[in-house]
Amino acid sequence: MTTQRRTFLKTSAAAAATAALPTLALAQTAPTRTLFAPQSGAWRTFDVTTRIDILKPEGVTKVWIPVPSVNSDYQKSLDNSFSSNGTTLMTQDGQDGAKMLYAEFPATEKKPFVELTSRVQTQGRAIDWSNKSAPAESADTLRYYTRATKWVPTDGIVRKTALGAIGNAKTDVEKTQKIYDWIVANTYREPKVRGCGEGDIKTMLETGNLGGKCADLNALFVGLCRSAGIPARDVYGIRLVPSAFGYKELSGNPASLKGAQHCRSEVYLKGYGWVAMDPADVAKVMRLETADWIKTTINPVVAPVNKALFGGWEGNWMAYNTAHDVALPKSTGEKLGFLMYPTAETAAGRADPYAPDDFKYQITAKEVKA
Amino acid sequence: MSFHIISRRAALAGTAAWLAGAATAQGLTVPAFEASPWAGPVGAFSLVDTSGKTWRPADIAGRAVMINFWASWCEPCRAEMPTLQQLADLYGPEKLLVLAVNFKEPAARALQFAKTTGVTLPVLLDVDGKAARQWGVKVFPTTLLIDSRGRPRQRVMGEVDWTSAAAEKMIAPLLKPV
Repeated sequence: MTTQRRTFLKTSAAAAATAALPTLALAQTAPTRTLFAPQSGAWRTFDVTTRIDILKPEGVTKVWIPVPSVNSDYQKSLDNSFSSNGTTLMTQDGQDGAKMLYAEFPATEKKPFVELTSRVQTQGRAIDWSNKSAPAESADTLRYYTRATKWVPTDGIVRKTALGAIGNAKTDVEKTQKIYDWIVANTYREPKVRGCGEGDIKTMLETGNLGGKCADLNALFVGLCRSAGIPARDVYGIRLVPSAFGYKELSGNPASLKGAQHCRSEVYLKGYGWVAMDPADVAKVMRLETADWIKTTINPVVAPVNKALFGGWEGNWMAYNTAHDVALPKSTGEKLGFLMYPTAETAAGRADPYAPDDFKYQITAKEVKA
Repeated sequence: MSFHIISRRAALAGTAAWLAGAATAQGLTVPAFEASPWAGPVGAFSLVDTSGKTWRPADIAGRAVMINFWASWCEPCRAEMPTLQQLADLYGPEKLLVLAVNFKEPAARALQFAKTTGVTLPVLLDVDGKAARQWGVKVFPTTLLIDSRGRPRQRVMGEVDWTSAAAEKMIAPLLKPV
C-alpha cells in the first residue's frame, strides 16, 4: 500500500503540474472542424484520475468509483493505483464484471477522500463493411444481450416502436440502420409531455421526451435493437480529450472531465462481430455543435458524423463497463441503472452524482506519450 | 376576489417572459403536459415533510388539494416549481393546499432545493417511492388534483405553467363555490 501510494502520488503530482495546460490550449485555439472519420490503428495511453471529497459526512460514508473494466480490440484497461484515508477494496459487480473501487469511512472521519488513477489505452473504431469474417459470438452471450432489464424493457411500446422503425428492412444491418436513423430523427421532435422518467426507456417513449439528461438515447437504441432480436449493449464511459476532428461537442477537457461521462453502444451483427454505434452523439452534434439547432442529417457538419458513428467512434473516449442494473457491494440503496458516475452514500442517503453539492469529485486525464 | 384577479394578472405578466424564454430554450411551441381524469383512490398515506410533520388523509380534508411529485434532478420539475409556489401563495392553503412530494431523494437535498429556490410549500418526502407507486406516478413532474370535497379529479403529467389560463381551467372546478 505504501509503495502503491508513493507511485500514485508521483503520478498525480505530474498530472497536477500539467493539468492547467489543456484548458489554456482549448481556450486559445478555436477548433476547426475537419472531416469526421475515426480510424483504428493508433493506440493512445491515458492516466485517468478520479478524486472524491465528501464535504458533509454524516455517519459512515461509502464511496464507489467506476474502474475501467473493458478489454477489447478498442481498449486495454491496464493498471490502477489509489490512495484514501478510509478502508479501500477493489471489487466488482457479480453479474457483468463492472469493476469499482470501494472506500468506506467511519463516522469519526471528518474529511473522507479517495483518489484513483487508472491507466488505459484506447483507439478509434471503424468497421470494414466489406469484411464479414468476424468469429461468431456464443449463443449464451447473444441471448444475454437481447434480455430485458429493469430500465430497458423490450416489450410493449418499445417493441412496437422498434417494429415501426424497422418497416420492411430484412437483414440485421438494415434493421439496425433503421433504428439508428429513427433515434437520430426523433430526438428533435417536441415532446408530448415535458417530464422525466426515472430512467426507463418505456417512460421515455410514452412521454415522447427523448432529450436531455432525463433520457439516455443510446439506452433507447439498445432497447429498440434488443426488442427486434438484435443483440446490443450500452458501453458506459467518459470522453478524455478533445476530438481530433475539431468537434467541440465530441470533446473532453482533460483538465476537468466532470460531466464528460458518455454512454455509447454496440450491436452484434453476424460476420462483423460487436459493431460500434453512437446515434446519441449524432443528435448531440445536431442540437449543440453550432449556434443553430440543425434538423437534417445532410447538413455538412452532421453528415460525416452520422455516417461514421454507424460502425465507428473516435478513440478520445474510455469505456468503464457494459453493466446494467448494478448492485453496489455494501450499499443499502437500490441498484443503479448503470455505473458511470462516482457514487457516495452517507447516513443522509445517496449523494446525487449529477449535482454533486454534497460530495465533490474531480476527474482528469493525462496522455502518456511513449 | 378582485385582489386575486389583479395578483393573478401580475403573476401572469411576470412569468410570461420567463416561460417564453424557457420555451425557446427547449424549442417548444406547444404546451408539454397531459391532463387525464383521475379516479383515485387517494387511499391511506403517511408522509413526513421536511419540518418533521406527518401528513395523513385527514390533514388534507376540507379544501382543494394539489399533490405535486418532483425531484431535484428533473429539469421540468424545477422549471414549473416557481409557478406552483405562486399559485399556492395566490390562493392560500385553506382554499388550495399545494403539497410538493419529493421523489426518493435525501431530506437534506429536498430542503436545500426549497431553501435555494424560495419554495415555502410543504415538501413531503416519498423516501422509498411508495407513494408514487401507490398513485401510479412514473413521470416527473406529475400533479394530482383533488377537489374540496375530497374527490380525485385529474392527473397532470409534465411541466405546467400553473399561472396560465389552461391551469386555471383545471383548478377552478376543484375549489369550493364562493
